[in-house]
Amino acid sequence: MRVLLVDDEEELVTTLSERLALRDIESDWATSGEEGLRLALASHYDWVVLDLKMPGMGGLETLRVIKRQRPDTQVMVLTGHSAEDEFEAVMRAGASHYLLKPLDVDDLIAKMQA
Amino acid sequence: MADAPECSQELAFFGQVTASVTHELKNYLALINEYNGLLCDLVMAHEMGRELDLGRLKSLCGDIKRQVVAGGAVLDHLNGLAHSVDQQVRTVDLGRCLGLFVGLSRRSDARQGVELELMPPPEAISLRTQLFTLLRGLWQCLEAALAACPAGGRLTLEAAIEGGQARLSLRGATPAGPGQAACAPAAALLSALGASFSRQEDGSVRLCLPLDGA
Repeated sequence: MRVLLVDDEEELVTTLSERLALRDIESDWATSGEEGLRLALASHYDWVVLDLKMPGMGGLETLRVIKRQRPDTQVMVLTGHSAEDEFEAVMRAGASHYLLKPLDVDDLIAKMQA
Repeated sequence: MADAPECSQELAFFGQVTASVTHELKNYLALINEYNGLLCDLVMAHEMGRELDLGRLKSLCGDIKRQVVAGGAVLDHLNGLAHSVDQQVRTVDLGRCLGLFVGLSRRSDARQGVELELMPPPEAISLRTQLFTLLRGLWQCLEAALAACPAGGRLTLEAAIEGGQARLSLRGATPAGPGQAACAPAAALLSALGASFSRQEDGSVRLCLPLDGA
């Protein structure tokens, strides 16, 4: 399984990547929507874990382009605080899951493997 | 916010700032959660025979401490905002007020890809005002500057005494277009502060305030 982690908090994605590696899951990371989109379109990922609120290209816009150009790629969206309208927009755009921070990495993996 | 009654505007400002700050706090907690999780993962891996990298453990402990300190500073800023309504009018040290303001607005400007830098005033500047109202005025000046600041840019906040007034400048914005020029603090707010707002030809925005005792 290959995973792409996208969050403007570099320390978050690098640490999460290290934790996934300890579970033998290969991951790449990006710190902006633009960079994440470039990686997602240039390579195959089974899952993209995408932060919603990022400077520049936000998570929702990134999600829409990924699902339009790589419909087979599964996307999980991360957010700090849940909002009903945000949840609906994200799910309508094709996200598989809408997760709240802080993450439970084992729950994350269980959702990927389900 | 421009059409809302003044009381609603105050609540809207409070909501904007607390939403931004609590989001920032959630990010610190998320990071602490990942560092703690990685510590647990490494210990568990050690129990299963993997060599323990003590240097990595120490580094992670330092990372956790750093996030706790940063999160604590954000909480101090939020506490500062909460207490800014304690007194209607009081003597305000402008340098401290600007430090509080920059701390509160950090995520808001970062979200727009802009870095806000504070140049501490070269001398102590005292104002007689309500701190909460001053913070609102500064927030609206920042919004006016951000409206004309390209992503990846940097805004510099400076304060000085000039012509018997405190002059605050936000430099780094580009000359504003017609739509951006309309972005300015509300007239009622400027009146409450006894302040004047202007946008300079180079795009910088300026707020002039009466000094304490003036």
